[in-house]
Amino acid sequence: MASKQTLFSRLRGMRFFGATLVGAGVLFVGGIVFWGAFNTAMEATNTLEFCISCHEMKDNVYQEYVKTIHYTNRSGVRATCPDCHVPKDWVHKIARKIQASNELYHKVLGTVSTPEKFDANRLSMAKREWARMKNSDSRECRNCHTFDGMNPEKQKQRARKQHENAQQDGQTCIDCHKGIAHKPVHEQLTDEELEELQKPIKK
Amino acid sequence: MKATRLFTTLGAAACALMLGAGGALAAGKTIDWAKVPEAKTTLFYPGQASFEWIQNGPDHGGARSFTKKGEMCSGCHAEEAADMGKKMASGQKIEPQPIPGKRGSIPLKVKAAFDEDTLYMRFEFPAGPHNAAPNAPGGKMDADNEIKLAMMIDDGKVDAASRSGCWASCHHDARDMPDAPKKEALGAAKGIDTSGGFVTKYLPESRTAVSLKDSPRGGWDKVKPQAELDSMLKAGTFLDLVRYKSGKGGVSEDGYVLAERVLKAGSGATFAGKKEGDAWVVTMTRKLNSGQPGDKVLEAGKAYTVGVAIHDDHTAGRFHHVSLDMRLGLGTDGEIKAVKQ
Repeated sequence: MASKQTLFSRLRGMRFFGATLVGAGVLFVGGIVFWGAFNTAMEATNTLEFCISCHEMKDNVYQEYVKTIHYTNRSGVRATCPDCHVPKDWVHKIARKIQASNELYHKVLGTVSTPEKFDANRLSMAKREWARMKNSDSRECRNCHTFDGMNPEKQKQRARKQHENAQQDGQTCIDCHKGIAHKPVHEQLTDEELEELQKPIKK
Repeated sequence: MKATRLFTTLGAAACALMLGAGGALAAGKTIDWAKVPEAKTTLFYPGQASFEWIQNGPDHGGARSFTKKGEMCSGCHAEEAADMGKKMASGQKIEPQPIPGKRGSIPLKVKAAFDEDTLYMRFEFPAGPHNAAPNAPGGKMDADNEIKLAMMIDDGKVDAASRSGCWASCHHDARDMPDAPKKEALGAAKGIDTSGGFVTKYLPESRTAVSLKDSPRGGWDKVKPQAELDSMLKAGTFLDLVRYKSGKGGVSEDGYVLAERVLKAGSGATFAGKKEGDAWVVTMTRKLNSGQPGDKVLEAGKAYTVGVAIHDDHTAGRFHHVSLDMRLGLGTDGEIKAVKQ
């Protein structure tokens, strides 16, 4: 009897980070549920459908993207908005999501609410995205494309030469591949600005 | 009246025979072209892609490769010339005045041979259909000449020519190009002949400054002093230029490009051209060393950068088809290998 009480009282007396066993169990299960719900919600915002649920995206950049090889191609592999614009790994992804919450503020302000306003802001938005991609060594591009995985013999002469030069110089994908899924707004840059953006990454 | 006409016709025929005989004599000997290897290349429609355009990153994705890596135009584009030509001829890219139906490219076969003192070349390409040019009265920019065929030669003395061929001479402010000066402004230029109402080809070396990026691009009016140009011509800083015009029974022109395009009929290279079935065949003979100013001295065992241009279907100015940089090797390697005969 004494030993039964001892076990029960022992269990009742146990504390995990100051919580009782029951409390800890509730916290543990609650944590899993919260974590799952959080990630599910985050993943729900990480889809093409979510991105184009705002007319700003659907009417502008989406319409440009559907005409490109990243939307339709020979093999049917599709890269959607988050594949290029949201990091895959959790740490960088959450940082990007927090940063992107600023877009809600501009949604309320109507900063890019019309095609005219969108185009007026297009270059500055593109510049931010090019800088983000450059700073990560085109991490999102490299989720699918790598220099190691390329077979130069299967590339066109121009691509082969450009990739050889880029590798030699330590350039990254976004240095050259601007405007491949959206309007070629980089054509509005001066040569000096473009040269700065194409500078090889210091390794 | 009839007798006058008869004499005129006979006279013209006699002149044609004499000219024909002169051509054969100038050739020195007959080349057995069947024994000469054939080079094949594609001439493409370049639109308004100028020397300045190819070096400006926002215009041309390969600008960095050309300016920083020292690549040749042919190093990236040789295999896609036909595709590029299609884009420009259709007006999809850098061609604000497309000619409806214009072909984007012309396949060209080239043969070359040489002996102790003469270079012989043979060019063959398919004759194309007529497509009326909207910018010309009667749809023909050059009603007199169905075709013109030109070739430029560099021996390494023009800075960008070994990598870009003819582009060293094609500028953003030349005739029908985006920054072409207005006719009333042409008088401002000293040292070049603008009486035709436009600026012709010129080399960057002949100008005190050439704007690659800032508008207006080019440097048509910044001509160096004549004494400096004379020194450059003497030192070989020019592109040798020869041209065949199909009109008037065929006209051969010889000249060079430095501060402007200089071409004179019957002054060196001798051409003969004719339609053989559906193809134009043009042959040329040229002294290896003519001793004339504006003529490169060609030597056996050496290779020279050449660029070929064809104006087909009565076109003129920039509405031509051009080759990328090619090497003409005299008994040595090159895309066009001249063999000794």
